Amino acid sequence: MYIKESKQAYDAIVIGSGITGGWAAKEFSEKGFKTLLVERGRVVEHRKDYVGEGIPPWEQPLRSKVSLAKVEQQYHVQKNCYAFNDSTKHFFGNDRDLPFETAKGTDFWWIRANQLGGKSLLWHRFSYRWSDFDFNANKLDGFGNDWPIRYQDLAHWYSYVERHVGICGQKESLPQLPDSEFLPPFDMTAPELHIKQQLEAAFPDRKLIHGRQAHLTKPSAHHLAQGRGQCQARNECQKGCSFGAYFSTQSSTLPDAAKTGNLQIASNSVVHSLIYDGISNRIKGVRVIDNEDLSQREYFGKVVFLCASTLGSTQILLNSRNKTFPNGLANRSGVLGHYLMDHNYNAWARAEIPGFEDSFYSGRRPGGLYIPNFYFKPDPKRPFLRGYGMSAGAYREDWKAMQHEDGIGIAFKQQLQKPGKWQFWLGAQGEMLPRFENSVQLHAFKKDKWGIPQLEINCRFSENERLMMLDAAEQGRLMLEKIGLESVSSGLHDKPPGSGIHELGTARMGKNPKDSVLNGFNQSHDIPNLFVTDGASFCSSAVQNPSLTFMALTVRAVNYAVKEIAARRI
Amino acid sequence: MTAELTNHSRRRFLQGVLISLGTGLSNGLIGDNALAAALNYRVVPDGEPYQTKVLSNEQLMLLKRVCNTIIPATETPGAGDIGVHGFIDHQLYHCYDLNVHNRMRAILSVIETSSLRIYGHSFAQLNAEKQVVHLTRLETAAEPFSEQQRTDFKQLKALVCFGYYTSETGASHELVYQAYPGGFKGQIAYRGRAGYGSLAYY
Repeated sequence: MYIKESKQAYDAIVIGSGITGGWAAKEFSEKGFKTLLVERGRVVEHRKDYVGEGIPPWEQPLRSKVSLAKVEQQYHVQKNCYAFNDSTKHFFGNDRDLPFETAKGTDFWWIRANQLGGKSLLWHRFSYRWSDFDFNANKLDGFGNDWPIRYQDLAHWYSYVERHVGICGQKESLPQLPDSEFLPPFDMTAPELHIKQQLEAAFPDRKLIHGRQAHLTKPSAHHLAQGRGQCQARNECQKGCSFGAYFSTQSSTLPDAAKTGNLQIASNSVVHSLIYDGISNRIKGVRVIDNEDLSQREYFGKVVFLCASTLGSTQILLNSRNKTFPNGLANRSGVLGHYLMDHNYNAWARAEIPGFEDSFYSGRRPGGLYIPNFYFKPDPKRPFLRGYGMSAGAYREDWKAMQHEDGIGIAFKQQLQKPGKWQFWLGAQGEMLPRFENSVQLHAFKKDKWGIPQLEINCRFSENERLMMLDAAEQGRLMLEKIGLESVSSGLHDKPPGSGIHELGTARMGKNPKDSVLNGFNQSHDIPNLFVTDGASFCSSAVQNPSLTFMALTVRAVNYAVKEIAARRI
Repeated sequence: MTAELTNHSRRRFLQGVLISLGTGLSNGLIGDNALAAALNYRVVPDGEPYQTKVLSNEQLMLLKRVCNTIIPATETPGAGDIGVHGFIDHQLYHCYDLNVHNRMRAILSVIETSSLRIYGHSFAQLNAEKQVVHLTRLETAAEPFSEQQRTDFKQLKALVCFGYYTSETGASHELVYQAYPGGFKGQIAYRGRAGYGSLAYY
């Protein structure tokens, strides 16, 4: 299955093996297409290469910490990710090899996962459908272009991927957050159930619901047939999960693609650029640099799917510029590289929960609760556009919190042995407006070790996002106070764009070829056999996590491409 | 800990997973983690030669007393009994910069010199009760200690707690270690048992 040199003309080439690349490879392979999956990083095999998994802390060299020298030399950006530790660091990119620039006065955390499986190994697995309130938002307030699709275009494809992935959650019939095809949700704790009741009574427009995540709480026969098992509630997912209990390329899409016999994988193949044939106006293949020995090779195929991550895909298009497309391949519109977005997680609130001392839980739930966006209907009186969702959850303090309290000796040790006070937390996840000036371009002269021009990122949160986070912190505080929690506090972080690890936009879809790169099927307006189906294709960020939506967009695009190929239009 | 132990744990773990999923364990599944394991701190018994990395031998022995004062032996051993002092020396070397090294050395010096000044004895010579009183005064910035000294001591104390509760004794004997919880149960009665040794992120 793994190849290096190949003279074969593939039916389909998929670039990138993360969430969208894995799906594209599975769909093409299962439809009988001879498919090449091109991955810039090393092979990571399910189970075998989860080298940080199942090792108790006392057997870890630095008890989960990464040495200071290694952080400073190799991970000065990646260290900012909450999931970065000694058991997961091998799934993060090495910053020394992956340089990028940021425009003066701006900052950006570009979290990388350059290996087979990409960020599907590291993601936080929250999976929410978008609604027409999201797909309509740009049209209503004029920020960004109108999405060329609506909910009904995706509903079938959401169901299609959900049945395969396995999404736990509960039906709520909310207009702003359509239900998925659910496996049972994780339990709520006793105080969470109490808070849900109190909050929904005090704020009739707000709901506290189960988080929806790609975890097998109760695997179906279909999941078991994939070799996947039930979630053990270890909450150590980013180390890799040998149970296959959360969705990743390795656990789910890759095995299905491999089973067909139609898949080949070119790992350690850093795509330098796409090979464009001006006579036929088609992409003929890809030009790659070997990740390890820096040699060059080419692969050829009839249709190309870019699934290399939002910024990765756009970097490839920008670097594939030629005489026909001097400003970047498939960029007649001039918007390639523009309208970069992320989510804004910069507001929080927390409080102590009185009572419930006789209640506890077992296991480590790998997710929490969710307050869906209650600002989904536009309101001119609100001082900002769009809205935010809030993650939430309750837990009992353990030694990590209680160690900071005063105390020396036996009484202190005994205190830390028992579970502490119940705490409740809220964290905002705000929509970021699409703005032309938030952009990426190729650096004029700086290149990486593969000879590829570095990206220069120019992105900042605007006043709209700042006002939104102020409101989220205030609303968080109000909610927790009104339902009778104690020691309520709230505040703001100052984390830059990129910190949400939800980079979106820069090769957006749209109806009009003059202001968008892709059409309503993620197909290039300019070059018919070129598709981009990862986050780069997004016109807006909504408040929900994007992964489920780009899964649905990918399978829909493959289905469309296959029909177009059959009709000889590609 | 040795590479053999780490790989043994991985093998045992994967065997369990694959049995639960109804498949067998093929050979060659264990990655080579030998280099990482070589960095592990190994508890060195008192009296055996140990090359300290950040602290002097005197500071290390003082830190052992401090560890056992903060987290003393109960039904389980104290922090000093299981070598948390050596672990801290090791952890400081690998994970903290010179500024922290200097502040941790300095706060140990403060503990010792203030003990000599107040009690006329070194900290190690104080009885257990006085050691608790002494560190409590430091932790609360009571006379003669300053706020900055309190802050530095809090950091040292956090290192002691980290070393203890991520150790096998702390995580799995003093607390309850759930390697495979088997799922999440949101509501169980709490009847005074110990809390959980955390595994996820520290």
